[in-house]
Amino acid sequence: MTITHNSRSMVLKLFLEVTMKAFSLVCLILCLSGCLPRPVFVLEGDQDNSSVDGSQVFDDVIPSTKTSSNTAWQSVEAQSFNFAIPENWYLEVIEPKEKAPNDANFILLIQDTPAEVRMGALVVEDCEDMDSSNCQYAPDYTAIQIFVYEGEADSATLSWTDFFASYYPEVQEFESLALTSMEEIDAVRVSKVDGPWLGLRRVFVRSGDRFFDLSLHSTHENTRVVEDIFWNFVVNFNFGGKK
Amino acid sequence: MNKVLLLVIAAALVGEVKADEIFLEGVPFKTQSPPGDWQHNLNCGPTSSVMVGAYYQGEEPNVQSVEDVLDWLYSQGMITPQANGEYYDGNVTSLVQLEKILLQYYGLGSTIRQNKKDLDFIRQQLLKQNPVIVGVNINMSALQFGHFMVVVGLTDTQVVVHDPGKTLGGYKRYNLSSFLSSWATSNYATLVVRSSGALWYPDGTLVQPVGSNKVYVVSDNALLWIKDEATFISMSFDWQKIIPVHSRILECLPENGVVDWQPYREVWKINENYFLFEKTSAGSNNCAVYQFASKTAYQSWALPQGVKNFSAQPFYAGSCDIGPTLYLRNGTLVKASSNLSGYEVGTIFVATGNGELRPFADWDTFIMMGYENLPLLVLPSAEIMSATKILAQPITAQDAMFCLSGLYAIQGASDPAEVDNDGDGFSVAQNDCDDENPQIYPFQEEICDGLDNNCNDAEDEGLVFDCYVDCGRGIHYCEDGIWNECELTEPFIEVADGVDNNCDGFVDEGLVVPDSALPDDDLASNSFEINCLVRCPLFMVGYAWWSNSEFGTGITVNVETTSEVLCERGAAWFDFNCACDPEWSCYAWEAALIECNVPVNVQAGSVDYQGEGEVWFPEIQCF
Repeated sequence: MTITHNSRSMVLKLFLEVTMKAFSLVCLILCLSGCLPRPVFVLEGDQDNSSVDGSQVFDDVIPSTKTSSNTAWQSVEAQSFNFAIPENWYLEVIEPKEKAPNDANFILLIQDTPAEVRMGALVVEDCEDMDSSNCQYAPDYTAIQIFVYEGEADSATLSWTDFFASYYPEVQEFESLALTSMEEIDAVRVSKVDGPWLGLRRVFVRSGDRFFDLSLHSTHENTRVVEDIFWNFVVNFNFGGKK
Repeated sequence: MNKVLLLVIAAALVGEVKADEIFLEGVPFKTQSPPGDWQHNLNCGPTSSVMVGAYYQGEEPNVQSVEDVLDWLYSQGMITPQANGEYYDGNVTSLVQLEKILLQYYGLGSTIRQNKKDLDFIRQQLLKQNPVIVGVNINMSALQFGHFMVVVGLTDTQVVVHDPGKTLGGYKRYNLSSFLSSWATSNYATLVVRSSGALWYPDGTLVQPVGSNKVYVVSDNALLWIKDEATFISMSFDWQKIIPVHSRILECLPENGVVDWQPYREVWKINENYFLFEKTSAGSNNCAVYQFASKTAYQSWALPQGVKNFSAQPFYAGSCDIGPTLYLRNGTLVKASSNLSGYEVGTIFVATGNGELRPFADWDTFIMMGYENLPLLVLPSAEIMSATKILAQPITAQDAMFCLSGLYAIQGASDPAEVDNDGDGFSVAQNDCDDENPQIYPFQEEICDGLDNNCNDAEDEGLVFDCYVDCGRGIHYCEDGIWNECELTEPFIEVADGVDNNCDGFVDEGLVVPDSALPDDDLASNSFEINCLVRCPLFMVGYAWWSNSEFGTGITVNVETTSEVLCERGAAWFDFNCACDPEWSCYAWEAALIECNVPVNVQAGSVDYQGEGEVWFPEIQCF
């Protein structure tokens, strides 16, 4: 397995081929100790698509269909976080060259392909024929992107409203969510925006003085499995960082 | 108002705006949604092209405009609808695809597409009144998702853009350093239509309105249409000298005739003097003879005919009219290789009016008029003067933007309402409601300050956010320039838990409260025979009912009870569920994790409701 690198900053390399045996043992231990992801849970029934003013409400929180997770996971460490990603996926840590006031401190990008993925509306280099061998972008991919904001002077007292006003001015409304696994963490989902809102699923989490923007991106038509993976990832992410 | 005015020119007239601040008005704004919705919407590229295309075609873009372009992209196989988005949410686009929209869909002639960190190029294009499509990021944040915007202004510290990623994205200002960082992430992707926005040109200039296949020659402050290619060639015009211009020039220089004749020409050299013999056609008897002022003048005409050496005027010209002396051909650009008295070294002149030579007042004017790509003759001063009758007044930006007639006639600087006093790009005439405050102007972002920042006759409008307090959902809004505390609008439903859930001052009003739900130190200290935890996953709320009167809810439900209580309903069991929210808009008992201190069987609801889960205690006998 190789790790993508975009000449940005720190790249975490996972040499799974070399460490497969040792890693399997670790996985076994972790599984037994309950550290690897719990199975993702699913919901049935209609989702809440209502809105106070008839505006669009996004359904980016709860998996809508029944799936089962057969994904194998591997533990990784990046920055100060320990977490699990699906086996054979790739992890990259992206840090800004020069951090602007409203930039994230870093981004964790987890994807199922070693090729570069095109998130957003713009393809940097011309890649008209995605089947072309010259095209460096992955035509099909699933990726989880986590923007991490931390260390702001007032982040400990920053309200969600002020957070969005500073970092995501397109956000107009949001709703709180309960996180059962970690009571000290609060989370919200965005319900109304005035701007492009990308990601099949997207959730914001606050833990201590850190804010997280977690989003799922996939080109696949059938998203049940990747949503399953996404929620498993979120549920098991160590938002508090390394203690 | 469909008027296009380069404010820097107005600034030059009134001296109010710094010369390095450029704002391009008249570029219509269109948000990228609708069509489609905001979620998954990737229409910024096509929408940017629509804005630019509409600008050159004098149209107002609307939802249909974007849909039509998306349909075209789909039909061309350039992009496909997203698998997980709406049909008109578009898809990822490249600069090449946007260029094809401009060239093939809108037919805008020629474009410049480059990946180069060249802020001066953008500045030059704005001088030429060309909006510039750039590859950046959402909110101009370099780490955010890729995004296209249209640059319509530039100052020392800010870039002014039409940001299709916002409903009110017109004339959005971003910090210049943020723009440069964001622009870098697209490898400085830049796209612009090749055009010049001047409204006047000197005689002899060849112009082609963008989007038109007509080429005109400027003559006596009017346009003459050169009928066809054969005519163009026979008149020995130079293809390289055509300047693409905005079609609004047709509003300022009237189309006054057609050049539809192909002359017969001979060039004579008689005693070191050069002459042009011309008939309206080869078979015509109408003829005229013109003498060139000098060899340089003759050469500037670039006539393809070979020179005929005569000792005297040939007999067949005896009855011809004698035309005026011909100087540097109108439209010819020249620069002196040596110092031309009275002018700075490097000054560029354009020949006009058959004998006039007019310098450009400054480089910006030269660029703005689109001369920078035209052939330039570099000649010794003496040769220039040998082909020139007079050195006339410099051509200024004011000249170039002076509309002789029609809709785009430049407004007089003497009108105070048209002066941009605060340098924010808008004058009172352009709906600036406070022309003394540079932070207030049309399209400005509304902020909570008690002022009408965007000049829409409303103060602090639209500044409302959802918020949450302990008792429910509320709104957080701006009033009189101050953000209020979260104001409760939708209190939580009161539940029987011994707590005032809806903050109305009453605890568990209207509910029968089981003793077990009340905070009770004695009760809390009891050791329960049965202890179960009902854990629901993230974002869900757990519920459990374990007797006719006892239930619990919360992030994790603690079922602490006795077998006696459990047996109240005839058997030892309790039911439970996990809900998405307090309104139960969705739920799934399978999502719960059940942990008990005694053996249990967890199963789908059979006693009460099938949508619930039930926990049965096989080792507890009820009597």
